[in-house]
Amino acid sequence: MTLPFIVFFVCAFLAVLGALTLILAREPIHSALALILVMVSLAVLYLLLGAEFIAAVQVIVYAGAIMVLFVFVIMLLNAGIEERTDFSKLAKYAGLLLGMFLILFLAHWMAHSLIGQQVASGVAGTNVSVATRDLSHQLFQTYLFPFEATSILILIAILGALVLAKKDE
Amino acid sequence: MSIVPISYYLVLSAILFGLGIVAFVFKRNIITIFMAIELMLNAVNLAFVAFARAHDQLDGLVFVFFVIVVAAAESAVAKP
Repeated sequence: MTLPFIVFFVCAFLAVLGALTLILAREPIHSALALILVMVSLAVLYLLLGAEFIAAVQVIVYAGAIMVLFVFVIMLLNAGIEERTDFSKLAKYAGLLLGMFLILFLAHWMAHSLIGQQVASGVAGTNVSVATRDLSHQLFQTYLFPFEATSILILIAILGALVLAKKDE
Repeated sequence: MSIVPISYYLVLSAILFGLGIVAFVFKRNIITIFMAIELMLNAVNLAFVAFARAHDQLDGLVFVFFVIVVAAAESAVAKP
């Protein structure tokens, strides 16, 4: 049990705990805070994988910008406690069973698929500080056209948000 | 550096994706349904980073970058 394993298991536990809290919490604000917990622990896992730029972007953009928007909207719309139907027997048992089956099937398939086995042992060591430089090279040379396309996408998103906000008046 | 096997990350990603699907069908509030979508996107991002690490190529990280950009644009449009 070395340090990376301990960090991995603590963060994985926190992420799964956050996801479960997201499902079980009845107030939307609790769900939002649980999702922030998931995102921060995933950022730590990215650091463990040596992708420190992605970890920083995860914290800044996801946990910072997107989740602030979520909390803002929840506060603004005054979203109350969600109502629940009393589950029918079929929904309670079949739904629980099928959900568990889905999760176990996905996990098993990911772990034991051919590609999973191929890469399971491949933990090569890239130098961390080189990785970000190579990432920027990749982003601005190989993927230059998609990168420019995302700027158009963001422009359209701004215009769409403006149009949607104006229709409310 | 990282000596945790890649398959551990993939299993965690699968578990988070499954929980995202469960949350998507389980929640009744439109905002929390949207949070479930974000949870699934995060799970896929984790798989991308794990595969990028395993193959020692950076394309996966670029895809994660684009996924984050699309999620940000999506949430900006969806909130109003």
